[in-house]
Amino acid sequence: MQNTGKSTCWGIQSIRTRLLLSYLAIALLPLSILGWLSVNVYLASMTDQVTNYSQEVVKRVAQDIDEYFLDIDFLLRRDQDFYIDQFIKLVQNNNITNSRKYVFRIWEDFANLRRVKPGLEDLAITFADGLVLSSYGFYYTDQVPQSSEVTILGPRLNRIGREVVTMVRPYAAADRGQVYISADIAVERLASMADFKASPRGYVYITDAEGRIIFSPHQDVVDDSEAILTHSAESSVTGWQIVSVVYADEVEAELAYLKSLTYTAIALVLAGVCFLVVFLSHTFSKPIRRLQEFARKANLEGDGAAEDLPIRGQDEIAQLGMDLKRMLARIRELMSQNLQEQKLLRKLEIESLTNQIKPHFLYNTLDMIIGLLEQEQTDQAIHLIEALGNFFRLSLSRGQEVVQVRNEIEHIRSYLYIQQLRHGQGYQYHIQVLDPEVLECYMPRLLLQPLVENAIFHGILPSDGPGRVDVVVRRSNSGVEFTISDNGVGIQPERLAQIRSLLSGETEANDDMPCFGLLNVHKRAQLVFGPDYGVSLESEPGQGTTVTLEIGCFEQTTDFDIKESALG
Amino acid sequence: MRHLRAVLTVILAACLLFSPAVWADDLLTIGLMPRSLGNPIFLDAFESAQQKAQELGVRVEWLAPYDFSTEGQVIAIESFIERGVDGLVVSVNDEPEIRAVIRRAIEKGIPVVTFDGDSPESGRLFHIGIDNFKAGWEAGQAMLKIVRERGLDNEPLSLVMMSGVPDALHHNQRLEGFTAALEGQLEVTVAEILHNQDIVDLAVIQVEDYLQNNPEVDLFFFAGGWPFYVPSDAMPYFKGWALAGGIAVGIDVFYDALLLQRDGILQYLVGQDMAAMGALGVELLVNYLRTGVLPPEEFVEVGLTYASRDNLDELLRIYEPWLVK
Repeated sequence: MQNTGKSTCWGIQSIRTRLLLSYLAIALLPLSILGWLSVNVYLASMTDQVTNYSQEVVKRVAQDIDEYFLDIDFLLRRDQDFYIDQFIKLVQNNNITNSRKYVFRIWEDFANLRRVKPGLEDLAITFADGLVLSSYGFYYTDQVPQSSEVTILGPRLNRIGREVVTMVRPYAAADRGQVYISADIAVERLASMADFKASPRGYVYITDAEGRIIFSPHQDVVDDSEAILTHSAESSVTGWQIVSVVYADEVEAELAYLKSLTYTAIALVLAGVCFLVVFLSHTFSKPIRRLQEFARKANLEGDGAAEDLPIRGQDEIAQLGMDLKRMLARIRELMSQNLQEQKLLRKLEIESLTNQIKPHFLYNTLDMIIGLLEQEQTDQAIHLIEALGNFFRLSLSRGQEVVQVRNEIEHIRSYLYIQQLRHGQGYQYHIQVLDPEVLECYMPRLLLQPLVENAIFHGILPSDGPGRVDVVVRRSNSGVEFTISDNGVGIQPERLAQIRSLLSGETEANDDMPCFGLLNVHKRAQLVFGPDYGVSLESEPGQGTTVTLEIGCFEQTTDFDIKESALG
Repeated sequence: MRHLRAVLTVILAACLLFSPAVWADDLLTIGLMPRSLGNPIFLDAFESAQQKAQELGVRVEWLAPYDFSTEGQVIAIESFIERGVDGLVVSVNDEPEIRAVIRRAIEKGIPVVTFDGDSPESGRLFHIGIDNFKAGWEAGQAMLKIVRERGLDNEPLSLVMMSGVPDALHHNQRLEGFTAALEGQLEVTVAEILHNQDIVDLAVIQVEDYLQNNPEVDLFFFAGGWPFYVPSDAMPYFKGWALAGGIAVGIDVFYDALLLQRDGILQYLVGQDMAAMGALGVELLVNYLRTGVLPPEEFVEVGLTYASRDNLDELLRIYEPWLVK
């Protein structure tokens, strides 16, 4: 199953998506916690702040009112005021017509006090019969205080229509009844003292001890339709309650504003994080995607198309890509090499096989069989036919590339037997297996026959004396070693050097060389087992030649198959 | 115009005649409003009005702003209206706000009389006061006489005049009378007209400041006695200027002013009888409320008093010290 680049780029299992999700999770989690904490901490803080501020406000207003009314009370304590005393005496004596001096002084005094005390609307001396001398003048009233203690009246409209509260203090007892001294305090002054807001719509109102409104900036003190937070404090001098009102929805609105601000900030940060994450994941995964594209092209297209893809950068992934690129090139090189080697191997096998099945070999052997039959040497003919049959059966090996050493030994045994009969028992041969376990090893077929053939045709037959061919099989350090020795004519040193040069590859071989079979065996052994294996040659002119073939040992045919498939 | 006024008077009298206050003839309440409480000149009127009220068996309420202001006077009159007094005697400037509030009082059935300061177009019943032009004229004649006695009548002279507020009709008439008396007789240049807003303390300050900075001025005319309530030593520049030859005359005669005249600070005074104004205001209005009878003339004039070196000692014996300042 093949994955395309597009299908994996944004898939849940793609590195890019995982990076994206990971970064988002890393960014979102602290942001969410921070936002949640901010909102909740600020809500608690804001509620506390409103509460504290409201309490502070009402306490401050109560304190201001207390201080103000204490000042007013101080102004009203005029028991020793000469002019007021004299005026009262004149009024008692109905001698008002001679009161100008005292009246004027009192007016002047009251006017000065009004100037220096903001909010002090009027000061008045009131007699029990309603006669009033105030800073407004001289008049009568129906509202005569009755209390013997300091009293605060109102709010009410005073003589000139100003809304005031009146602080009254008994001044002196007189024949015409109790005389009172009073001060009118403008409600506007109370309004200015209570002009604090704990919230934009919040306000402060003042009630007396019985809950009657003294001052409120609103017609309806409390709107029952809305949830409110109230805090109050008592004025110790007046006994009034100062009440701060904060609408709950304002706190909530503030919180909602904060929430929206926080969420907007989080959204903006998230947007920035998303952009950054996409950018970073794209940047980080780009080399991987290029590598993926490289591998995909290498897998799908081959033919070196992937190697043409540029791989940039100095990071690990770029280095990996470069290594992969080099590895791919190496694989292709090895594959090409292997293909060539396989072609060569096939060619050498075919050549070897062709070389074995020479027509005159078959004709001569058949003629020899016929001769034996004519001579009625039936048993020997049968042996020869069996040897010939074994020879060809083992040569073909049912198309197998490898055969057991045992079979290869049997193959040359049949060959040596046939050749011995052909050449009239002119030589002896002896096959010795020193390490029988090597007979179980697998080896490329038809490796030994050319060497035995050389020993017969180029060693023994040219010599005059009785010939002998010895084949020894033993285990070597890295596989199996075959030694084929003859006591023939040997090889001249120059020729030996030339052959060795051909075997080592120092000299290029050609098809006309007489040592074609030797080279064929040597190349096939090296192709199959490597350059450490192959044929070596020892020879002394007139003494004979020893050819050693060293090969590896396949434990089973699949070893060769695996290697073959890997190369192919 | 006279027919219209007569008709209005009859209608108003009829309304008042059938009002509960008149029918009940119980304690009438008369509201009096001076120009301000802080100007002692009105204390004569205050006392005489109280005295007259006792005689007539009515109540007098005395209401005004401490320092003169048209707004304060309007508030005071509205207070009287709200209180439901039976009649009003007021000293005002002839200003639109004053005319409007007097008309509102009249619409509420409250007859209004003016004294001292008049507002002729307001619909008030009548006015009690002095002939302000004549008072100024008399002061001017006295100034002319003193200048001639000092041989300064052929020299160019500079004059400073002090008034209350620019819209005060009676003060303006006094200025006009004074300048008319000098016109053609002396070569006088009016260097400055000081307006003290009817505030006594401010009047003293203005006089002192002006004479400190302009001691070369020759003549001073006071259309009212605002700065005369303080001893001469309390006005060193004025005192120094006068003793150095400056000539000052004014209107309003009371004990403290006479003391200044005795000390040579003031040379001549023309007095208005504020006590008569207060008493007459109550008397004539109560009479009107009770009988519906108006004074024969719309302007009830009270006489002038003259204070010169010739009668100074006698006046000092007649007038009592107020000692309000």
